[in-house]
Amino acid sequence: MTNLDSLGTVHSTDVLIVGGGAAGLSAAITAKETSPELDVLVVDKATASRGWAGKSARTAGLLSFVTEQDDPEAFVRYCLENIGFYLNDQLLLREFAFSSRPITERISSWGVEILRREGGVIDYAKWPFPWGTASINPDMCTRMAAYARELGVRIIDKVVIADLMKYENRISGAVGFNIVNGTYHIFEAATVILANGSQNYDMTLRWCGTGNGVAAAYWAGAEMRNAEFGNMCDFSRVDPRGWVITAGAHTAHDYLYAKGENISQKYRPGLHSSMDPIAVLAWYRETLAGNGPIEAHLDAFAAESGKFFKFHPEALERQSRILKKSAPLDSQRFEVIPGFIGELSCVKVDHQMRTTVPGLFAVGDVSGSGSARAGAVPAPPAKIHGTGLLNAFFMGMKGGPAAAIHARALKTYSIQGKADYDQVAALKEKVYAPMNLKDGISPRDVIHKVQDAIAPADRGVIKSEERMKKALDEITKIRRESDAMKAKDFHDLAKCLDAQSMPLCAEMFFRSSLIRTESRGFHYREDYPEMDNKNWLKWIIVKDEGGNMMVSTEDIPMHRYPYKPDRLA
Amino acid sequence: MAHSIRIDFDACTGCRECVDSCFVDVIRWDEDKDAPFGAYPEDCQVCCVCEKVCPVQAIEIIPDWKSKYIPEPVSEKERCGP
Repeated sequence: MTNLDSLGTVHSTDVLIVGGGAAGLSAAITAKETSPELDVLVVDKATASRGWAGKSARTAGLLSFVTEQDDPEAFVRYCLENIGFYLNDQLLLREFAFSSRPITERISSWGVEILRREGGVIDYAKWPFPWGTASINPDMCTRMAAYARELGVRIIDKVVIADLMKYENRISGAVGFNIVNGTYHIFEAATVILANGSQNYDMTLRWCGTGNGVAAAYWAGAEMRNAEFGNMCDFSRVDPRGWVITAGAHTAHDYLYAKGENISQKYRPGLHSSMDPIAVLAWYRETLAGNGPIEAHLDAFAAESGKFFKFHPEALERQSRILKKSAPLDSQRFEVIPGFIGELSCVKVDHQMRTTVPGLFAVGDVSGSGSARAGAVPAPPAKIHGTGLLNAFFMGMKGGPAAAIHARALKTYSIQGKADYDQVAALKEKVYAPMNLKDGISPRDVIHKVQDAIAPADRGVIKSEERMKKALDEITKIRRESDAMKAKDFHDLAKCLDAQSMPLCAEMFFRSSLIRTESRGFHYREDYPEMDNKNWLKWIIVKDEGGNMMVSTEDIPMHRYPYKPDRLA
Repeated sequence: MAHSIRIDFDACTGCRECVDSCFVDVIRWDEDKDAPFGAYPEDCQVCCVCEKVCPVQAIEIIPDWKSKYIPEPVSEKERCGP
């Protein structure tokens, strides 16, 4: 037998967690608490051991939850009627609603700092909806990483996972490389939790999900669900000096103006909790009508913002530092264009965060939409500021213990992670191929082509069959081109992984979007603008079958759910 | 052009906090010079956490906003009117 060590450094563990952000660390902590005797290993391409991995530390530190003033059942109904439009897994949504307050206490016990009023009650801004938004110190992962290490969780930094390994149709581990020195790493594990984020297409600053977890799960044979909703879209600020800042107009959605008229109120009257495609539709229609440039009037927003947002001083300090770099304009009124974010998070998971591949779990942004908890939205629902963090904790706290119990059961039967020499050798050759090419397209060029195909408002947000077919043609071509990428170094090699994941994710998005011949939530089709409950209370499933992307539908088990659209219509 | 990662080497204490805190592998450690450097400034996300964690304010991010690739906001430009 050929020696596996000759291919790279071999690590063996009971539970391997890919990604050390808020979801991955929540899973690691709760897995270790459930079964202290198990070895739990987190691997991340950033410095997760010190809590610097993932997007959480770069957020505004908002944590929405169902407060003591709110009825969790009302939260469920609001989410079904106004956000997820009955594409939700209602049982998981209900559990999310009822567990959100206990989650705030649990993370506090890990050292995560939430702003509190005198007497220790959590402070929050109350929305006129069934939730409130608390303020959290964005250094949360540094506290969680320290706590995880105290419990005995091992963390390996600077290694990006490129592929999952399977043995007899079940997960047997993962392989990847160190992005600094290029060394190859082989992880033998019969239980793997993906916690490495969504697909953001490298469009908007600090939304850095590479989709590598989505791609790895897809190639391992896992089913995807709700990929058509991977199209969160913000607004970017156009600076009159000739550049665009792809962040910072996050609050513009209710304050868009064309020729002095508030077009947000024209297209979606009333107060909204956040963005949706109708805000983009307002920009798009008015621009086509020749009423551009469309402006955001943040002076109008300023009067409202204090009611709905409170920030931790640490978050405020970071925001102010970034704002200074963004060359703030004297005026609070500026031109905006749609700023695509994506948030494709379609790895399908059940209530225990199990994917459809035995031994493979997925938590956080990688499987937010795939869990179906939030319904017809890029999950965690872009409609509620601050549920990204709650979702990461919720899914991590469910997936960690479930994975630990799974790993413990496997140990009882002496089933271990197992790497096959030939499989690892083939994966290693494939992943390093861009280092060995003399010439080839750069991963950045591939990424820009994917962005051109999906990010325009009339591609990723305002959809039509004709335009989606054009986009798919482009994506198919890009996927072929991405087979011949050239990497300059190991940082660039990691970019090649991103550049392979992006067109794959875009293809899942467009193929799912083409099938759904209606509009619902974040899926808006100009050619099918109405919601169709008769035909489309269905989930769209995407799966690899022998190298072909297969798309099918799955009926939502409405008969099992307490709320049905006709009853509430 | 790309964003600039400006480091004051006289002030830098070599604690490597900036290298550790960068979540997108932009700041690396130069073993020869025994100092941090902006290895991949084009990937900087302008989160500025490196500035925040530096104990002696020796690092500064200077964004070049024009360097970011921005696709057309509408794919079918002819539909956009004048």
